[in-house]
Amino acid sequence: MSEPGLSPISADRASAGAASAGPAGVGPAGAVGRRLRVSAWVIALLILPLVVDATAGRAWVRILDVSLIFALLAMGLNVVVGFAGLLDLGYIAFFAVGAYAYALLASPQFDLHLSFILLLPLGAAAAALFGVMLGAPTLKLRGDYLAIVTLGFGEIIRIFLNNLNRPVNITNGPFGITRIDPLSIGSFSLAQPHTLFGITIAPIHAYYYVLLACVAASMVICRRLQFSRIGRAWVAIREDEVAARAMGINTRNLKLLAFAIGATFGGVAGGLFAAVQGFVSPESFTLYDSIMVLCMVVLGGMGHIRGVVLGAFVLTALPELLRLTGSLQRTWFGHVWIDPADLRMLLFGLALVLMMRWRPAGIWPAPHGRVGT
Amino acid sequence: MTKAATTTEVQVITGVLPTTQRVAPMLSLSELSVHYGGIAALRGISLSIEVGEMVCVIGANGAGKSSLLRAIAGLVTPSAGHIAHRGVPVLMLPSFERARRGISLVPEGRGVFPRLSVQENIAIGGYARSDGAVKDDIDRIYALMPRLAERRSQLAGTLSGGEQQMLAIGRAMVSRPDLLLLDEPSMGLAPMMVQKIFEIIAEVARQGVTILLVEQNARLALRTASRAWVLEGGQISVSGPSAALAADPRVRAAYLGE
Repeated sequence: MSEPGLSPISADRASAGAASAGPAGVGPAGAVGRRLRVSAWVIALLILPLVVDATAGRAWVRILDVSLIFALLAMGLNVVVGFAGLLDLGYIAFFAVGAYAYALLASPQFDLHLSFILLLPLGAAAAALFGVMLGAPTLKLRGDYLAIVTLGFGEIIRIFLNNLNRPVNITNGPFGITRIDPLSIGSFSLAQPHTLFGITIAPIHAYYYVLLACVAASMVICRRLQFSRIGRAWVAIREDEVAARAMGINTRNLKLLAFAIGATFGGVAGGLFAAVQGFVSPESFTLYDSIMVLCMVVLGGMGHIRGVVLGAFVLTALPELLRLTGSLQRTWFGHVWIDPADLRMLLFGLALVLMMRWRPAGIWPAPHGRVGT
Repeated sequence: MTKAATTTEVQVITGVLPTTQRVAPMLSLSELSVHYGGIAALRGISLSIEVGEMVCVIGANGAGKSSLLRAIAGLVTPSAGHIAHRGVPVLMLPSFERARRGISLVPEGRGVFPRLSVQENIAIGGYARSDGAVKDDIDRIYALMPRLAERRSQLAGTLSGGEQQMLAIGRAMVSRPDLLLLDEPSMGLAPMMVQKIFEIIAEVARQGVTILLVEQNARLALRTASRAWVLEGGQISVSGPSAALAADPRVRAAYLGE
């Protein structure tokens, strides 16, 4: 991905990256510090579901799983919105395509039970195709106009899924598809508990590890993309499309590529979602969900991979935390004054306003001078 | 790679004759027209620019100056006419292909990438190049414009207008153009800065880059360029050597305020 022509600059960047990785980050000492920190992270993330299960309960492990799926979505949308600057309000459609691709081909719906290993790339490819289908007619649109078309696209996909039960029943309409095959690789099914080194790993924990691996791999892929020649071209398009073209950048192909790659992440997330959930219905793919993923990207820190992953976790976990306020109110005041669901929208709106005022670039903004040149 | 290919094309075209006698012009336009809907911005422009020349097009607001550059760079599709770059027709090429061939536009209003640093802006200029000398070229730009070197890690959006103009020219230079299209480089700049920018443009021309300059500041443009065209209502009204135009009473009355 890097080319010899720009290697001196990439070298600068690499050293800059190393320097910012740790305060003491010069020479081998910095490298050791970095390795230690990475190992600490890995161990913490590996034992996290066990700790959460023991302290907060199994429901919270499930929330972790959902957060990881949303982290994948946020990273995918970040490619489109954060890197290439194309505002997409229908992103959840690609999630739907991936989820339904898996659901239709691995469930009793058509009595097809293809393997997960085959279906995940298939769902990703289907989503990428839809990405190009959305990208091609909207190449000349920008900003608000692009947003309106993408919003329409997202709704079209959802309405299709909702109505494709007549005259021929394909999607089962609003009832969705049930009894989807769980994740399994060969005869090794993640839907049963497994015992490893004397520790019993429940399915929900196994899913966590699979999702975690996917998120980690996606972070690496996104990072490589960001600092590649492609990433540089995306940033140029985001900042000024005309100037980018004057620099010899093929804006058409690169915009299509951004849509396709972004959609691929959505498709993968969708396939995993269907397998983990065991059930999909059009209700999971509404405009509200598109907006939530966009909020994860914007609140987390547009263009910053770790930022948007954080955004996904915060926005998935916060509503669940607020749910607790219901019982707290009951114990403190005797009854529930504010419905937790209302409180959630209230706080969410407030958070958006405050963020806009104080941290317009997100909770964890992209560092300056790290935009991929 | 593109550069090598085009050199051979030029040799093919001129190969019949001894090379010293005839070289395809850097740019030739014939009967070029541009319409925006029903409105004609350019009506049948024909002109030719030789290799290594520095020429300018002057004209009032709305005369079609920017449309001319945009058509050459491929940002608008002409409704009629031909464009040849070093003897090769480029009308069917998309803008990015033309940029890779060596036609580099410095857009009106500078078009720097505001949220990228100066260094990153300049590096993107080398995007389409695959040779290893980009770094050397960047250093050369910094030597030519030390102000940019000082502000290397500053965000381009925080630069002054003149510095942004310098950056836009520097970024275009890193793509190693053979034809540089400058759209109103003096726009909105303080007189001192305008002077500075024109010194840089003259230096770029001395290095052998062919320059087509579009300006409202007719006095300065005529002083810098060797030949000039006056654009009026989308047509060329007067053309000739700059000195002759500067002496032409019509030009003096209309564009030099005399």
